[in-house]
Amino acid sequence: MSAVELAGVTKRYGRTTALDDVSLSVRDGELVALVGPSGCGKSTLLMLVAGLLEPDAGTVSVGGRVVAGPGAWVPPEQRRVGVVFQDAALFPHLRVEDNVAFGLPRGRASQAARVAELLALVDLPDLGRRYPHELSGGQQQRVALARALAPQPAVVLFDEAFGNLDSGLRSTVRDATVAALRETGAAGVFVTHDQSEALAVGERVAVMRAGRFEHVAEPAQAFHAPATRFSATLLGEADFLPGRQDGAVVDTEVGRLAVTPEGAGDVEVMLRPHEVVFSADASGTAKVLRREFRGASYVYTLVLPSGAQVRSIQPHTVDVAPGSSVAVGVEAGHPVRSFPRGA
Amino acid sequence: MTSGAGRRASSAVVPAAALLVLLPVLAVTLGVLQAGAAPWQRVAGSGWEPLLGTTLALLALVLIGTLLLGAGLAWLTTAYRFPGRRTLQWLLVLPTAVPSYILGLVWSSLLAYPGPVQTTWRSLLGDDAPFPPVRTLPVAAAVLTLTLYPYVYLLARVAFRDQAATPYGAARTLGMRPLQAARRIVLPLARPSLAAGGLLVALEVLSDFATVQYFGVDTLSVGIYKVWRGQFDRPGATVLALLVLVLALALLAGERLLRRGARFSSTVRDTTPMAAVVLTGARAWAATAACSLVLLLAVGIPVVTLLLWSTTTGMGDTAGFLTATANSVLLAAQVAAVVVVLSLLLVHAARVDPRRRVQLGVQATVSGYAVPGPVLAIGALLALAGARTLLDRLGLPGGGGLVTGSVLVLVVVYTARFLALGYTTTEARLAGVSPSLTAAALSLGATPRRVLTGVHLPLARSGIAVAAALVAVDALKELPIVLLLRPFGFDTLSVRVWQLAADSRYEMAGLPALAIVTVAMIPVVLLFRGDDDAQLADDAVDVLPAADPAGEPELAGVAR
Repeated sequence: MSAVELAGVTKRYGRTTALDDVSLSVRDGELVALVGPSGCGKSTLLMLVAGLLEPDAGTVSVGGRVVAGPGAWVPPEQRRVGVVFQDAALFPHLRVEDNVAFGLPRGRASQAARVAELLALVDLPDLGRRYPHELSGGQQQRVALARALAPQPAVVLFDEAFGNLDSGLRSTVRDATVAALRETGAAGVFVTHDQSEALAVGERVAVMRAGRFEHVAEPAQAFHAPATRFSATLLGEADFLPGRQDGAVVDTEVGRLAVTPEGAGDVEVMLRPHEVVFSADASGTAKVLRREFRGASYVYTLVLPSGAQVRSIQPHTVDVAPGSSVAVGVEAGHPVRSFPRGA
Repeated sequence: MTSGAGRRASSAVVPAAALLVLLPVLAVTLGVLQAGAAPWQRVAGSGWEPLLGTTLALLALVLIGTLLLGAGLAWLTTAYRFPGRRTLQWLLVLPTAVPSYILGLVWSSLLAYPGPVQTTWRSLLGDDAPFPPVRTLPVAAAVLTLTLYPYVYLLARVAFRDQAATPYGAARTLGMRPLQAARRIVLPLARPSLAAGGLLVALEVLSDFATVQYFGVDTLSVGIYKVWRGQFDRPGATVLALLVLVLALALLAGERLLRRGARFSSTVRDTTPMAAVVLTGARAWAATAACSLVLLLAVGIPVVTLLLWSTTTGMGDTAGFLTATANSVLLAAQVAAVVVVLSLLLVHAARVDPRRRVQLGVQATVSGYAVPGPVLAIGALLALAGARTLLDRLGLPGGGGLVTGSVLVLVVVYTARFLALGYTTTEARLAGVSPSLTAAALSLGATPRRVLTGVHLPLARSGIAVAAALVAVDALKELPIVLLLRPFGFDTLSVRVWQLAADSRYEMAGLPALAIVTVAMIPVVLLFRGDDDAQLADDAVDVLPAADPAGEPELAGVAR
């Protein structure tokens, strides 16, 4: 059974179409990351699932029950969908424990035990008596998660939930969140515009653009064999080199490479900087144009004889001065992805 | 599919509230269609065309006046520094507490032939010295301008401060002089706000039929009143009401048009203060004097005059005054209570229920602010007459009471009139409560009723109090609706002021008028005295005192 199922969902704001005939199925317990530029419709999708917006067409199901569609409408409070917001959205006038208990049946003796259990789950066992404003941003997000998990929802939606945290804290809170979700067995849908977050969190990644899905796949596949050039550049740094393909190989300026999908003719292949290697070589035909220091590594920009440029990530121990001649190769470990030229 | 009790309540409240506002509009439209061509000819003897011409002329004059005065004062108090500016900037909102029918009463009395102004004039220049006529359209327009400009002033100030400060600073660093930057950058940015302020002013002008009568100006709304109360010509009044409604809708459409393409209004509130110019010497005192003069004409002289009248005549007819006061207070309290409860339910429904019919219903209700008072009143009477006919036909009793008018009818029509005010105030206070809080509560399985009592109510409490105060004061000041709809013998303070003024017993009107003005000032003072957003700019000026010997304006607090 699907935790969440969208079928042909469309949502318009006036003349803008935020979601255009979108379908997606999230399995029970599955974690899916929705990634895309701002305004691509990813937050709209979450709000439709939560019941905070009404779709113009299509149906939305949660836990096998149709919650929005022609003639059907289940109000948000009856959907069993948890939401964690970017601003945490803790009730400012309630203590942490009352925030967590908000979604639990009231007045039961078991309530206090459940709250304690949830606060322990998110690793904040002693903060129940505090008010939200007395917590740090990361603590607030974890309370928000505990609160969302309290009514045992079928799915928890995360709307840029880690976006307000600074980068060091972000991955810690994110990992704790994923661990807690796994423990409860709830499905999770993470909306983010951060590609590394999407790849790290999702068992599947859905790349969105202008209200449609460009590619829905497992992270490694989405990263190494993106469906479109847009997905390719959204999920990581990518350069495109022209080449001539024949079956499963392609001839490019940097040599003959294994390629997918099979085909023939003029193509462009995607190269990610970590796949491009080079060595200082006075007889090499390529030159180092510039390099960018990133702490642990250098990103070299190389110019090929045709004038095309590719980037290469190298450890900081590889020290080649701009202007040097180099020989360029590719070590991808998998067939590189080709796209029809000019597409 | 089961629905929570709270949601059922809100699904009932939204259509009921929308009906409350839309039914009168519908009744007026249907009434005109029913009446045919005859009433158009006989309205006010000479037809409706002169009334329309006068109304348009008055609208034009008051709009020009309020835009110049409101935007000008807003610009002066945000972009310049001069003695007393901090106090003056909130005092300049105070004229909104003096209803136009009171300001008009004071000035028409002061400027009349036996009044102090003309008496002094004659003693100085001789008995035959000509004095410009007072009972004219321009004087009426001036009076309306003096009480209505705060709408423009407030909205312009917010626009200047929140949207135009940074672009203005940028323009200054690019070499523009203050007035140049104001014309090329600030004015276009503030256009949507000025249009919104202008619309509020225009709608007030359309509703008024009391003030203009002091000055012998016959507008469409005056026509409605005379035709209805004087000639009992229902179709005639209905035709005029439709004209007023059409004018209001045209103004609304005009405002939307001016707002279109206003995509530059940023969603992020800019907190950078306006780069202010410190005025020195004569210019500084001229700025102080200009603001003070407006206050003197709009508040100072009227209040002193009312005080003098009250002390010379006392209460006069004590029993009448006390009854009117009791009626006013009771009516205002009932209306405030009903409006606040309805507003909270509407704001709540709009928050918890995203379905289109709910959202549209709430929007329709809020658009009720564009329906002028006389139109609401006539529409309500027509709707009630229709209900009576229906009851009679069904053989049910009680129909007669509906039409003769009752306090209940007044409460209902007042509610329709002030619902938009209550809604926007409550909603503004709840705007600080992030929508994600509501969403979080709902997604946790809280019923709408629990969201209302557990989240919205505790967090919007201050807004509810403010909304109640504002509605109560407006209900106390309201005149057109109560004049048209009051049951026989039902006096309020505002009705009393109007009747005494109509009988030229100005001094007797002093006490009830003073009572209204005093009460109306309370929320204005409480709300705006703390209006200190310009604090940052002031501090910057204090840190960088610009001592310029030439007396030239100096750029003091430069925005980043």
